[in-house]
Amino acid sequence: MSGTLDARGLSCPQPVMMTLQEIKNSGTSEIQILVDTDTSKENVSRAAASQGWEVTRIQDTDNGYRICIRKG
Amino acid sequence: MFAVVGTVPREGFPLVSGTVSVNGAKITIGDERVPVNRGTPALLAAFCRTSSTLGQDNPFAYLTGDTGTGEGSRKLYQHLAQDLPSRDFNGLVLHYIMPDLSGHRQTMEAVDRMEKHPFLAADAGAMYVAKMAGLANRYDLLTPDLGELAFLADEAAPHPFYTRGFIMHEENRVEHLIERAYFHQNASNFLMVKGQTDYLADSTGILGTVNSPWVAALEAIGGTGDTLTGVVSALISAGHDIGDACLEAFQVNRLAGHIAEPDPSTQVGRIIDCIPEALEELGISGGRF
Amino acid sequence: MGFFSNRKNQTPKENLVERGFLVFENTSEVIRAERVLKGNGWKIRVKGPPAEIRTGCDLVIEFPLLEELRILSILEENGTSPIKAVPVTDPLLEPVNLLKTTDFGAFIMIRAANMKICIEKETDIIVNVSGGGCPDVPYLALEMVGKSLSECPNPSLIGHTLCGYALKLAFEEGIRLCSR
Repeated sequence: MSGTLDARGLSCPQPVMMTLQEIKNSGTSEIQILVDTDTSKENVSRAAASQGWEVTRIQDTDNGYRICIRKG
Repeated sequence: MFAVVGTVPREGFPLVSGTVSVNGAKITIGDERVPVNRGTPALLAAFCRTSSTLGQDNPFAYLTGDTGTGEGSRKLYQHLAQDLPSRDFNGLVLHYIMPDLSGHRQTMEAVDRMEKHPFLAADAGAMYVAKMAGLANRYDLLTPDLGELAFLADEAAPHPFYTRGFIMHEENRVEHLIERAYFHQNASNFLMVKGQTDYLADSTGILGTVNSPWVAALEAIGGTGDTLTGVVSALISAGHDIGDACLEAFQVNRLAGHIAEPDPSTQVGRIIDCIPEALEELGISGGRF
Repeated sequence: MGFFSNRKNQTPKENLVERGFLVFENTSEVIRAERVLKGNGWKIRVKGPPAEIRTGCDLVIEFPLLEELRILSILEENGTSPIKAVPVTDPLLEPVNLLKTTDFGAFIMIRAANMKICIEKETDIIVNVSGGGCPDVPYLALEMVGKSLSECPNPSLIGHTLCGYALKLAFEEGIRLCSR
């Protein structure tokens, strides 16, 4: 099961807060987050890791990154 | 045309100058693009959004990178000393720059050599150094918050960090602090004091106040003071009377904040996006020539 | 050598407002601190203290006041912290003793002097930084917003100015409150 969060156009810390909410509430074991800045990419990855989730892949997109995380 | 002077938080960002435009979440100046975030980029974005709604010109800007070492700021001061005398700006707004007495003095000397003396405003670090230099009263407009007003009122304080306790704790006696700032000649022609109530003052006292809408979360959001300075500068640049522009800017900034429905985690870009709607709702339009 | 060379070395009066004094426990602390600061490229001067702050130690270090945060951090790293730092123009001035907390429900905002930091209570994530006017403030905000209190660099490590110092105080109060 996986969900996709679109955090593009949102400034830090919104992408981090959305990710943490999704981790807490969604019940899924895989999430993809779309971001459009390097800062958000790093902060979202760090926040996921702090909750015991693994960053399995970061893919470049046309206007940012797709971060794939999986429950550890 | 108005010129804005400030820094961006990227060491190594080159010293650039030129007309600014805003595109989405970034401002563009020359070949450089800078994210709209607290600081001078927020001021510039607010200025541009106000100007374009009024059908007026975008501002000119001088920007350089400085993350607090002061190196970028020193080069910027030197550049201003050389470049300003040949310019015909109607207004000059000094913003995030390292407080440096000798750099500020050189800039003021360069302003004196301009053929037409511009409207002069300062906020942030530029306001701190203006007061440190004893030259706050050379400015047409300063935009302190309450703590910074206490700093202006304390004739002994070199920086807001060292404002004397008995003065800091008078933040609820705004009228008294304003009077004290003017008495010691540490205030500009007009003062815009930002807080739960906004105050416009001059040497005769308080000229007007704005206190609604009040959105508590705005106090936590970095950049809402920068947007106020951007909006008022754009209105004055468009020809609005200075006193009217100050009160209008207080209203626009508050209303944009209200429309954004922020919480304390909201970033200033969201509020800037609501400036055009706020201007329309308040019926503020066009130039006043 | 005597009166005239001392006169040449004095700071021009108008620039004194930008200077501060570092006051130390004893003279050997002053000498160690001088070596550390000059070794790191700072323009400082060792001199006799004004009467108001004479503590028994005959020497103080005159330093660029606005860069207090960076200077205190370097001295702390080297084990040579001063007792206090005061402005030259009024050595009796104390740093603003203002720590104020505002509760926004899901968020808490801490103000220290002219700086404010806002933290989401549930996650300890720093969600906003506001206040100040020195150029390190937007930089510190970029480095801190979106990070939790435990992951975030202490502003004393990456900031430079008095505004950065105030943010450090707010940050450390945030850690103290959120760890309860």
